[in-house]
Amino acid sequence: MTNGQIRVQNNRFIAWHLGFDGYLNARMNERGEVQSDNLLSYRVLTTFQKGWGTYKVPYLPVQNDFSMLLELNYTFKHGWNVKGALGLDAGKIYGNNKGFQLSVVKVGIL
Amino acid sequence: MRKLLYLILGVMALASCDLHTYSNGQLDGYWHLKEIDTLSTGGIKNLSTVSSFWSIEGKLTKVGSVFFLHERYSDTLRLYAPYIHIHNWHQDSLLKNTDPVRTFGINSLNEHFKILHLSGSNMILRDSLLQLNFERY
Repeated sequence: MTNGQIRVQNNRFIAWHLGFDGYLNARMNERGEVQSDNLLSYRVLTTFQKGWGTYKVPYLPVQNDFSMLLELNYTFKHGWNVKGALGLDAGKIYGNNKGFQLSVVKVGIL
Repeated sequence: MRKLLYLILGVMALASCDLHTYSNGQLDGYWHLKEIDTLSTGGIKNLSTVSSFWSIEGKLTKVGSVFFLHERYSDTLRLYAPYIHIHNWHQDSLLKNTDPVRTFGINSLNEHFKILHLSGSNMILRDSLLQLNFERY
């Protein structure tokens, strides 16, 4: 909760989750494996939730919420990797929020 | 001899068990009273954002702090013998008037509702004064 109270606000809900990932520029090497350098991949996670609140403090009326994560990841040569992620919530359970994450990773010796 | 004794004790122990199960079918559940229609005037009271619930299970219907016994005959639901629950079980007392349950659409201590509609998501009850529209919660 964001009102400073520590209690369960919504333990009666139904949620549908859909997630998938893949490559946008996959290339195979001679052994049939995806080449790991200069590779652009993505991941999408989505959740739709319908919440009734709790028996003691129900939501009136029933509240809906949609949450999503969209992630893009680019793998360079020599173990460098850049990842950007956009996350958002829309609805009355978690409110309307959005956030962005950028990470740069080097695997191996600099 | 000892085995026979254990057998007799076992049978006696099982015979002392009495398992009751009650199912009211689709009537069982947590129902939100979302609308009260006054039949004589055609007035409609919208309670969609008001916490006004009936809980139905076994032989009991809980309305606010009041527990009714209920019986169902075909399309009739009877609520009777209401006890009001105050703080702890030792202080429960028979309800003398309908003040605590009037906002829940109950105007008699021995109420008979006709079940106009009952499904997995909605219920409509009607007595001589009111029609109560519920949504399952």
